[in-house]
Amino acid sequence: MPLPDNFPALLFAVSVIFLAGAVVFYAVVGDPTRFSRLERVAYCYPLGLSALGMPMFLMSWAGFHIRVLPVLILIGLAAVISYAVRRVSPASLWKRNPNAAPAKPFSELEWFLLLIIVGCLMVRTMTSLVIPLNDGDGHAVWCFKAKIFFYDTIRTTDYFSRHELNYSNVRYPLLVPFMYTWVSTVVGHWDDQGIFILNPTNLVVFAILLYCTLRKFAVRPVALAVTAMLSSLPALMHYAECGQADVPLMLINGASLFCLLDWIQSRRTDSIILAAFLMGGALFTKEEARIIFMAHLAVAGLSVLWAVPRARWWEHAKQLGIYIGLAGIMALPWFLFRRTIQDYQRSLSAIGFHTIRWDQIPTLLSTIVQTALHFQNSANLPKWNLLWPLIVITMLVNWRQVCRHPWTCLLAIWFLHACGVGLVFLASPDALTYPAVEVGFERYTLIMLPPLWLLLGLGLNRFWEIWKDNRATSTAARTTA
Amino acid sequence: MFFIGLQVPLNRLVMLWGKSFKDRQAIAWPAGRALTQVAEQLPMDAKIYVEDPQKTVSIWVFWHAIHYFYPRYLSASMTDHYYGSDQAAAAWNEYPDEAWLVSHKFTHVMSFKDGIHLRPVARSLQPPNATP
Repeated sequence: MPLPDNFPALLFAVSVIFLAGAVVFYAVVGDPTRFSRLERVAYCYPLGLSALGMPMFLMSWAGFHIRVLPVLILIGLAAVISYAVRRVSPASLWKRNPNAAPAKPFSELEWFLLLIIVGCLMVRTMTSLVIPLNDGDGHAVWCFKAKIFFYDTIRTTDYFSRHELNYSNVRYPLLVPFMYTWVSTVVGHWDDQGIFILNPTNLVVFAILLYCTLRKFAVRPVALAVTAMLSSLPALMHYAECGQADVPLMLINGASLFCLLDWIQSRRTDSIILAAFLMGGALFTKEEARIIFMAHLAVAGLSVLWAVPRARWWEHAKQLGIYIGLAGIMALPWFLFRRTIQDYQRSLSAIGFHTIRWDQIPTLLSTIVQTALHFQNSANLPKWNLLWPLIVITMLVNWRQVCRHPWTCLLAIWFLHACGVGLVFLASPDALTYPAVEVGFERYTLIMLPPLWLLLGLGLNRFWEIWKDNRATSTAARTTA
Repeated sequence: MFFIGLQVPLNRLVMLWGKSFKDRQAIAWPAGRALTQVAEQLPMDAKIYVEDPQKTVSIWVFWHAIHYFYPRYLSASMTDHYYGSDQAAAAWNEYPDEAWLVSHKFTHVMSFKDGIHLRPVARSLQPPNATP
């Protein structure tokens, strides 16, 4: 079997997503050489998802089926317009950084870590290519909607008006379904298996982006170690192989966070534009992206107040205005359409500050602790392994550095995101006991992890420096003796 | 730590490797295989009324059937009622008569009582081109 028959078509579908992202990257980033080549390629994928999702939605809303040629024409037009504005050779996207230090050969430890990363990601890629649709929400929500948009359009389907289909969360955003539709469109028929070519791509690209971001402040062995933990994280095993939107949101929101962190450190306009573009995509991926957007925005604003001289506040406030405007404009058509969908029972719109059950906070906290400490979930799959003890220990030991700008921003983003999700749980009428919310918590936690991965890298890097210093000191002492 | 992350998907891969799509579907999601087999018997424009959607393992099987049958039309309610949970579905009691099925252009009836059973709507009343 090794590869499915339609593998070339599947690869083409993914390549087009990369191509769309490359056009956005080319249009936005003034100096691509500040990213490594690997990082540039990796950013193209979440940018491509964000760039293609909304035009496909608009196309379908206008009553047109998703077709390959119009999508390619759209990308071509965007490329021509970008070139007309920028007047820079597209080859600059692949330009080497002239100031880059020559790569050092890998040590034994680094080869070992790389082997883990490649081994875990390869196994997951192969598994995704052979495992058909196999999860409840994939059937009921994400893949079902994708199938509707493959055979029908938003304008002509009765899906949004059938009360009976309310189980499928009719008001959930549609980026992931449209991407599955896109893959099936390229293949030429609905393919319950082929659509999952996107799953390993999501995970591999996130691993590359995480590694490249970590390398900006951590040594190579540490960046590899954290990436190896991500690649082998048991909780990701299931969600990287099923038809749900949690890993895509983790990727797009994570990529947006990495760009935002760069903006917080450098205040480059192109970084915040990339962050905004990706956040626009995230808002069209899952409902909770709205919480993430608020958390990112609040922390970005606080970082200006905290770390920027008052004389430059206005300049950075304008950049934040771009962030809000671009992300909002990108997601606006979806929010307008969403208002027209009648939701009967499952909507979060009925909940609000007045429905928060403050007396349930102890139950919620107990559930959070149990989620972190349980080694296996109810399906007998291992969850977090040693991740949480490692994060807590490294943060406690490295507390002083974590409390400094810009690292506090990461902690604040995670905290606000977690509080936002916690408030939604408290305000919803659902039971908050561990068995009742375990699966949901697992998924929400995966999406919250990107800032914590970076903080874990920061802490491990500090350990590495201390270990190296001690080793150098003891070697020097032995030499002197 | 790293070993478990490799071992579990590797086991899954070994279990599925070398098998046909149908076999892999039967292993990974047996209900999906059973529903696909039934759906494949019907034309794409079939309109199917589902009886006793709660009489399978869970109402979720009916919801998954909607995915596997699409673009064939599937409904378990004469009133577009939403059975939001297994508890709500337990109260299901919407048995239509043949005249109602014909007047609403249903071509088949699928029952989830004691397995999956499919029958065409009474032939004498059936609209043209609706037979699988």
